[in-house]
Amino acid sequence: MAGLTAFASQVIAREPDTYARVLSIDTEGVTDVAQQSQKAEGAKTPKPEAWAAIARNPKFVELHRRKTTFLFGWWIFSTIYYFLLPIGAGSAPGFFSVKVLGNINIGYLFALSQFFVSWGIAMYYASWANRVSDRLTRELLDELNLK
Amino acid sequence: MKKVAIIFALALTLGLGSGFMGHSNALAGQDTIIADAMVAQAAKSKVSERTPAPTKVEANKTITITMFIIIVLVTMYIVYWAAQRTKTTADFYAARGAITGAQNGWAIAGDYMSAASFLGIAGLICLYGYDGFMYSVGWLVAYVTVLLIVAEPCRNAGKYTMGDVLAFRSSPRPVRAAAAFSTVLVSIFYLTAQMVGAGKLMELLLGIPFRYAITGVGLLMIVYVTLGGMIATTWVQIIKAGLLMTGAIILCLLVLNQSGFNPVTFFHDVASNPQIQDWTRIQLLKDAIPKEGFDYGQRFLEPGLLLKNVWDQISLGMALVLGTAGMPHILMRFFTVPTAQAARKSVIIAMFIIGTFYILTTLLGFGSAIHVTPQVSFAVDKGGNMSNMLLAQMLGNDIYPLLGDILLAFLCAVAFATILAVVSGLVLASAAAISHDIYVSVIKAGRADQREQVIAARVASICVGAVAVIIGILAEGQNVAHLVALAFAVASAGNLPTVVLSLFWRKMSTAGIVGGLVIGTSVSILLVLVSPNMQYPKIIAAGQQKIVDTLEKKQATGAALTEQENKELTKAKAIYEKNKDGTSYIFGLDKPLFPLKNPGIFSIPAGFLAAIIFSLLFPSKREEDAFDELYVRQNTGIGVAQAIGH
Repeated sequence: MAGLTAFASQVIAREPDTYARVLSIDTEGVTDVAQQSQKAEGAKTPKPEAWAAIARNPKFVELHRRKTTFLFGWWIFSTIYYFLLPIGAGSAPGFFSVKVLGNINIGYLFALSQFFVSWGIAMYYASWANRVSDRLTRELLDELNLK
Repeated sequence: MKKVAIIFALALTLGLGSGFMGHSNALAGQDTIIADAMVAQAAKSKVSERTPAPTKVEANKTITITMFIIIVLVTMYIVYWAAQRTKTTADFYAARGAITGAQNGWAIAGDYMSAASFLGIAGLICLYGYDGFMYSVGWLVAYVTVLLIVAEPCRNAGKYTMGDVLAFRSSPRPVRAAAAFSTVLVSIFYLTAQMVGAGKLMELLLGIPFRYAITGVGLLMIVYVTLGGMIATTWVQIIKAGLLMTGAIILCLLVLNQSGFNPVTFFHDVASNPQIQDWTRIQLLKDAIPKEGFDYGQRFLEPGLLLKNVWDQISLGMALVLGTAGMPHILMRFFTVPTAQAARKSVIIAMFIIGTFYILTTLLGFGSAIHVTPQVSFAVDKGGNMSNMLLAQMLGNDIYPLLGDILLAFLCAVAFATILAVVSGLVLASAAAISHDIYVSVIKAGRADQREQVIAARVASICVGAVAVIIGILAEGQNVAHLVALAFAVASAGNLPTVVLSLFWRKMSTAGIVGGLVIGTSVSILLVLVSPNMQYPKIIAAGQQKIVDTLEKKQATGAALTEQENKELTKAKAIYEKNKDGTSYIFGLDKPLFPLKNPGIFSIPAGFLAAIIFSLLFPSKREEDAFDELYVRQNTGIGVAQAIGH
C-alpha cells in the first residue's frame, strides 16, 4: 500500500498547466502534433520541412545505420535460434535425446537456453543502446539545439 | 483403488462425450485405443503408497471466497483511487504517461500471462512432458521482436492506440477505421477464449455456474476499465503479476524440496516414476506390451509426444514471434510510459518476469507428473489444466492438512486475478480503438472535447464488456482453444506487417495499410475456418463408429459387455447418429481443407505481400514526403506525443 501512496503523490505532483498542452494537442489530431508541440514547447520542435534536413544530417544517418544493423541483425539471429528448436525436435529427435547430466538431455538444455539467449540479447541491447544509440541521439539533439 | 477406478471410468465417459474440447484434440479419434488402455490401467493401477492422490479439485470454499473478496476489495480500492484521477483522455488511455519503466514491465507481464499460461502449459508438461515445455518457449522469444522492432518506435510515433501509429502519415479515416476493426477483432477473439476459460475454471474450482461466473468476471472488468481506465488496469495487472509469481515460486520451492533442490535428482524422479512410465507407454505411445529395454520414463523427457507436425509448430512460432508485437493490448502499454528508454526498460523487465515464470512452469509441470501423476491430472481435466491446483493441494497437505487448502485457495485467487487483469487489458484496448479511432477521429473528425471523449471511452468500455459477457455465455461448451491461435494469427498477419512497414518503409501508403490489414486478417480467419481447429462432424462420427465396431465385435464373440461398456455403446451410437450427416461450421466441409492448425506460415506472408503490393499500386507522394518526419521521430523521440509534457 506504501507503493500506491507513493505513486499517488507522484501523480498528483504533476503541474496542472501541463494538461492544457495535452488538451490542445489532443483535439487537433495526431498529424498536427509537430506544430502543436512547437507551440507548446516554444519553438523547440523543427518545422515540418526541416525533417528532411534532419534525416540527411550525418549524425542521424549514422544513428539510423547503426540501429538498423544492430536491431535487425540481432532480431534475425534470435529468430533463427528459436526456429532451430521445433525444427531440431522434429528432424533430429535422436540428437535431442542425448543425455548430458543424469536424465537431463540436450533437448531440455536447448529449450532452456532459449530463455537465456533471449535475456542475453535484451541485456546486450540495453547496454548497447546506452553506449551507442542513446548517446548518438543525444548528440544529434544537442547539435540541433533541441534539448 | 476403487475410487480411482471410478474416476477413470467417469473421465472415460466424459472424454467420449466431449473428446473435442481444447487440447484433447491431440487425442481425439484415438479414443478407442485410449479407452482400452484406460480400462486396463484402471484395473491394475495401484494407488501410490507414499501419497494418496487427490482425485478431484476440492477448494475450501470459505478460504477461497475470502481470498477472492480480498482481491475484489483491494482492486476496488484501486479503482476508486484511480477514478478520481481519470479525467482526461490522457488519464483514461495512457495513465498520463506517468507509469515508470519498472511498473510497466510488471504490468506487461500481468497483461500477457493468461490463465492458459498458468494452468494450461503446466498441464501440457504434466501430460506430454518435454513438448509442453517446448511449446512455452515461443511465448517468451516473441518479446525479442517487441523489444527490438516495435516498442520504442511505437512509443515515439504513437499516443494512445495502434491507429495513432498507423495514421501518422496516412489518411486518418480509412486507416483508423481499419486499425480499429482489426483491434476489436483480435481483442474479441482473445477475450472470448479468456471468458470461456474463466467460466469453466470457476465452475470447476468453486462450483459457481458458468453463466454467473462469466457475468461476475464481466461486471468486475467493466467496473475496473470504465471507472479506473488505464491507471486502474495497470495496477490490477501489476498486482496480478506479483501474485502469479508468488504462487509459482512457493509451489516451485515445494516441488524442489521433494527432490532435495537438486535438478539431477528431480529429472531422475521423473524418468524413474512408474506411473509416468506407464502413462508414456500406454497412453502416449500405445505400446500394450512393453518393448524390451525401452526407457519409457526417459521418453517422457524427449520430444514428439504432443507436437507431431513440425510445420504446424513453425507456423505457430511465426504467429507468436510476430503476433505478440502486433497485439493491440500489448502495444497500448507502451503509451503509458514517458520515453522510449522507459519503454525499452519495461520490455526487458517483462521478459525477465515472463521467462522466469515459464522456467518455473517446467518445474511445476514435471512436478505434477511426479507427484500428481498424469493419470490423475487427465482424469480430473482432459487438458491437464488442474495439474497445478492438484499439486498445490497435495504438497501443501503433505506438510500440514490445512496448508494444502490455503495454498489451493491462494492459487484459485491467483487464477481469478489473472483472468481479471488480462480481460481488463483487452477491454481497454478495444474501447480505446472504438472511441479514440472510430468515434473521435472517423465520426467526429477530431472535433470532440475532452469531456465528450472520456464519456465516449467509458461508453465503449461498457459496450465491449457487455458484448464479451454475451459472447462468453453463448460460447459455453464450444471449443474456444483455437480462438487464441486466431487472435495471434490476425495480430501477426494483419497488424504487425502494417505497423512495421509504416515505421520503416518510405513507400508505405494508406492503400497499403488498409489492404494489409484487411487481407492479412481475412486470410487468417478463412484459413482457420477450414483448418483442423473446426469440428468436422463426419470425422467425429467416424471416431464413434470405431468404438461401436470394437464393442459390437466383442459382443459378437459372445462376451458379455460390462454395464460401463453398454453405456459407452449407447452413447457412441447416439453421437454417431447426431454427427454422421453433419458438415463443418460456415463452410460445410467434410474434412479440413488446410492441414495446419496455425495459419501463420501462409497468412503472414500474405499480409506483408498485400501491404507491399497495395502500396506500390496506389502510392502517395504526400505520405512518402512525410516519411522523413516519422522516421526521424521514431528514432529520436523528437516531439514525442506524450500524455504529459515535462
